[in-house]
Amino acid sequence: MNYYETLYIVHSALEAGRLKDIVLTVEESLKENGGQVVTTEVWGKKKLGYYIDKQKYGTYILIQFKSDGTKNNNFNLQMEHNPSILAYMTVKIEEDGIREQTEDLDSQIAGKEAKASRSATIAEDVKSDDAEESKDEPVAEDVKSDDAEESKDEPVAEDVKSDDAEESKDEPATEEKVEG
Amino acid sequence: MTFISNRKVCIFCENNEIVIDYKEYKYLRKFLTETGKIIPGHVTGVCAKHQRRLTNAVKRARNIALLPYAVDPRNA
Repeated sequence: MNYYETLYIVHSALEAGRLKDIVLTVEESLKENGGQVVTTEVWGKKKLGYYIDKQKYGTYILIQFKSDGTKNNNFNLQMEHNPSILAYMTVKIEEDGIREQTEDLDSQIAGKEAKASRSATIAEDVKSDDAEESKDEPVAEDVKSDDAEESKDEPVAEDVKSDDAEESKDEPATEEKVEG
Repeated sequence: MTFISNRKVCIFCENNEIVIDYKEYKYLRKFLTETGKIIPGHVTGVCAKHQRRLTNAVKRARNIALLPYAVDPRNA
């Protein structure tokens, strides 16, 4: 028995439920062809290095399995005939290359979806922030006007100084009174 | 992402922990030009043995669209 892995790209338009169906069908066809699934890893939606079937993005899924390799041709043929799979590649790996599956399939798909939606919302937020910033410009003007008001306040500070001066003038008078 | 230096020691011989794997496509980008060509070993300092493995890994990554075959220099 040897270890193999298949990395395949699923159409990015497929959502969580349908994506899971595809993954399960692939695993079933693998079992039919004498394979024993070891690890399934969902990499999530990625930008492709080049267009495949006019698609710019795809969901990458890695499946590592144990098999004697005699029916791998059949498995590859089934992958080829699946219209939801844009591309696939099966390679032989060493036992050291086996990855441990930490999360189950559902949580992996849910996690990737959440991450994708989060990044989408962040992108939207950034856009809306830009729009708000353009709206915020009058606020910046307000700040400037505040500065202007502060500059108006400066004479008050001068008044305080003049008060001090008056006090200093008063001081000698008090001294005189003490003397008196 | 070009990696050009005059180093004489192969980076993979120096550090055994680095695994040349097509799945580590972001690391492989170090050994490609901006247009997606593989940089020769005598430029990057990679030894012949590891350059062969690197080339295979890049070709696998290209096959599954993790890396591009070619990038238009106007878009690079």
